[in-house]
Amino acid sequence: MLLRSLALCASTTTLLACSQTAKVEPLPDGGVDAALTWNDVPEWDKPITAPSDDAANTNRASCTYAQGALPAETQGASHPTGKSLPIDTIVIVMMENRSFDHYFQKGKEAGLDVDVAPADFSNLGTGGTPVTIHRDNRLCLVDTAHGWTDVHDQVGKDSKMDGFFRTNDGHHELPAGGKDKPELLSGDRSLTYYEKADLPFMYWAAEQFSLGDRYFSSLLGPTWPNRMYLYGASSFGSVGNSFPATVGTTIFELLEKRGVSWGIYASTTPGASVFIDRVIKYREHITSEANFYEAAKSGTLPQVVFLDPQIASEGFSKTDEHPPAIMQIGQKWLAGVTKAMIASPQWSRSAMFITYDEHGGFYDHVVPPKACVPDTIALEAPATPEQKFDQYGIRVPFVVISPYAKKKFVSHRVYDHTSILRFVESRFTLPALSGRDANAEGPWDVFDFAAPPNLSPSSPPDVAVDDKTFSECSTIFR
Amino acid sequence: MQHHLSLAAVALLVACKSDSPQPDAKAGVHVDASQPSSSLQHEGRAIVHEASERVGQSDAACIDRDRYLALRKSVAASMALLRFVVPAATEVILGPQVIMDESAGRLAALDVALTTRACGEVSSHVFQISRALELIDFELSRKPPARHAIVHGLSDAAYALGAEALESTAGTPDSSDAVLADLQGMLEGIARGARAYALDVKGSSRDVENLVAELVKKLDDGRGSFGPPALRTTQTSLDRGGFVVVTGKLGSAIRALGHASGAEVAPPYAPLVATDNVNALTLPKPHFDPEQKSVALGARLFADRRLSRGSARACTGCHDPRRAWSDGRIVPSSLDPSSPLTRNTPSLLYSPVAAALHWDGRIRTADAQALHVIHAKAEMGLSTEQLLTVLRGSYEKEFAEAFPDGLTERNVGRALAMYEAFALVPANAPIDRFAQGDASALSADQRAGLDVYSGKGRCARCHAPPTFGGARAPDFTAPIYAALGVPTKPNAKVLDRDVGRFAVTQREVDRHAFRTPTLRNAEATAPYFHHGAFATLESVLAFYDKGGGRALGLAVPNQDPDIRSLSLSSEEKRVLLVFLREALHDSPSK
Repeated sequence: MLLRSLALCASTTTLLACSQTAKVEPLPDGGVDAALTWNDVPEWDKPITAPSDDAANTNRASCTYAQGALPAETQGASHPTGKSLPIDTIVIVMMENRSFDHYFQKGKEAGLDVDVAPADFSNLGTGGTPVTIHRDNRLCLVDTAHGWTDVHDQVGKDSKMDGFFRTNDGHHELPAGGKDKPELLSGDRSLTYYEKADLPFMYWAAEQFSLGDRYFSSLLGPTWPNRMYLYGASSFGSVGNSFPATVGTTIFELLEKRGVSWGIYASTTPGASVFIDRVIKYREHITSEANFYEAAKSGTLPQVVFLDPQIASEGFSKTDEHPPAIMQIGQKWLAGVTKAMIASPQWSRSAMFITYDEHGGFYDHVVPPKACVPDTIALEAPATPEQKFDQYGIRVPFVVISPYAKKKFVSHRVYDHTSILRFVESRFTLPALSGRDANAEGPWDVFDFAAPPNLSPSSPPDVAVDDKTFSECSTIFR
Repeated sequence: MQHHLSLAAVALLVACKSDSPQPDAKAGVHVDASQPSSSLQHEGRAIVHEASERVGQSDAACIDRDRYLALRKSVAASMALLRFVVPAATEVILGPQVIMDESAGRLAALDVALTTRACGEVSSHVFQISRALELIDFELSRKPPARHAIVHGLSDAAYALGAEALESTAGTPDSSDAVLADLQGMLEGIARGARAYALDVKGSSRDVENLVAELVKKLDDGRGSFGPPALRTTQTSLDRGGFVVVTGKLGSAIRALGHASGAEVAPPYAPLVATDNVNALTLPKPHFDPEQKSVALGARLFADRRLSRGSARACTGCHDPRRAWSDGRIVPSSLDPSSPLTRNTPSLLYSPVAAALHWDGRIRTADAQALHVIHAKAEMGLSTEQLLTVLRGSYEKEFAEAFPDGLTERNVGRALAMYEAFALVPANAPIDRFAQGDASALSADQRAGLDVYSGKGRCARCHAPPTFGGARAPDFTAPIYAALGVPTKPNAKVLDRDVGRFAVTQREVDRHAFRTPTLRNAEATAPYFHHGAFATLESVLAFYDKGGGRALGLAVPNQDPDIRSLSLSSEEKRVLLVFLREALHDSPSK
């Protein structure tokens, strides 16, 4: 049986004065009736006549909806919103720097209905010789280019996705232990993929649950602004790893206003630190990764969870999969996180979204489509005056693990980081933060809420980190 | 600036929280308010708060000089202590440790904005620095810093002290008064950090503090080195060389403090000659680790004419050991009459510790460079198959003994690279003996010359010690390029037409830019520049002193900002040339 105490504070700014608590009645299946935790917000709770799915699709495609649009106004009549969604715990895990093709190039061989690059996909290499995509056997690669200018160049002036080799060849320093290995800096490394044997967790997740093959990062740039889209549906003008001059409303304010519990679990600097004033303001919501496992076990995870891998610095042994990290270490970490969720009393009414902040510089063959601009804030340098946030970033893997996720299903709907936001907003009836999430579709097609929940899924595979790989990588990236 | 308020608010909140350890159940997460505080946590936050205050006082379009120097000093102190504690934040301030993307550090950008009077950009950089400091403070408020990260940071800061005293770091500010502020700040940060660390581990910071005091005294004695450029004089100058050697001792003392408490930290890089005094004049190990059999094989290959078309020339044909591994010619002759060679043969001396090779830097490693030359039609002109055919028969056994996969093209490159790593880093110049602690290795003139080299001459900003070439510590793998506006010949009014690195990158910033060569043994490697059109060191120095191509009236829009009129006195020129000719000159035998 699950019991939780909820402080009756309007916001954390008054935290020190808060002491009253109210008991929440447990649900028979272990979930919490979110209705009891909600604050009424009249302007969000107004009656809405949902548009048809077709009308909503058309309107979103033409960027009709604006900041403030409620999910019921934008998602289409067939999609449940609010309390009718049988999901009480939403876990969001954003990893680092891997493209969709880089991870799922061999997905078809595992029976996954994925759109991947043709086997002979290539970029021009040194001296104009084509370099074809190939399997990487090293498992720890020198970082690849993913700054604003480089990523735009990777897509290319003619949108041929032909700039991966040229932007990566010679890019970066040689690692401390790799000074006799010039090949480490070759643009070749951006044209690599992995197979099922390399990525047992991701393939297990895709085979047991759902995968998206049209999930794009939110802009053609690096970590910080992409993560800002996850929390704020905008980077507020930022195109690089810099703090925005002014941060508008974020999902945190909406959750606070609604009275939804939420938390950030991180063993290093939290990803949300891109909005430094917010992590300071909401410091009570931030805690260690270790507490995630405890809370999952005891069924006390908050309703919205942001769980971060070790994103604070690069290293071959970090869990975030950011090169030069051996990605198996991140895969092992994800398997552990998933095990904790499946074993949690909260599993039966949960959804975990696993994605990557951006593609890192690795190849993908799908040209990122046009996107709706979030706001009218000017882009900072090095963006040029004519550039806008009107195109998605490059595709990244997107996995949904939930008792309601369809088994071995591949979604082909276009999503980005704000689709996850739109799901959260839909569940808790929250308005859109910007023009981007206003016109984003929640990842509905991966769910079947009418089917009985999968209460006893298979256990995630044990991911072994190969000793030889670890030893070699530690020598190069010591 | 608002961040003052927010920092104060955070401090208040933390103070209150310690009295109210109740977990915040609404947040749904368990907050551990009873985490033990530490001296380091306290000192770290104090030093960040001080920096924040200084930064907050600099929120003006163009900061006045005193405030700017106070800002630099306080930020330098906080970075010396906290460099590796919150990497995401320190990268905003100092830039990434590796060269990539577009994220230059904001402190360097602020200096450029102030130097160029781009006052409109100042507040943006100040804002980013203040936000990054807030993030560091936030993380420190959550938990004490890892001790290993502190020792690592302090050890690297000790090295950086020496490197910045030589004005050779990537982030060296434009004017030497700001360099002085950085040095003072770093010394303060190191002393406070070591003290707090020692308190936490119940150790002693006495050795570290004594060395800091010695360095502070040297700075005070040598303040004349650090005035605004017009006022700088060598008469009361800092003995930079002596200062640098003590920074090496300081780094060693810091690592000893860490070692005594279980925090093992290595010096910033592995030195060529084993020592714990790794300072900004200490040469690193070459990129390739020479292995005996490969070295012997490489030596044979290097001198073998059959590695060229028609056995026309060996590597030694252009890289002659008797001519400082160059050829003494303006440009070498081409094997292919249809494509004459247009660039001077670079000496291979110290190429094993260079970040890039060829004048345009298109090759990054010695093995690739060797193969490139073997294949180039104008240079040696063999195809892969021709090369392997020549070597089969006479070299197969040696290759099989040196490499598991025997004779391959790649191993030809590797054997040559290992030979070069063995033979081409002699490291027995007076400067090398001095770096190892032999104070008598440099004469008074040579020491004064080093001061000009690093200070008023601005040489070290590109020709960075210890390689005195285009690579910086700690990895020596990010090449330094510069557009100088070199004319066709000394004092000519025509810019040399070679576009240099632009041909490789197609970026305007690289037009007429070339790789920065080492100045070690410069006396022996005449003639100079990419086209070999300057016959003497005097002519090169005159070009720099005047202010590069622009000073000659040439259109060089991307001329490196450090290439400017130097106004060196004749005495300064004299000691600078003495330094170059004597202190950087290796004895003939190793």
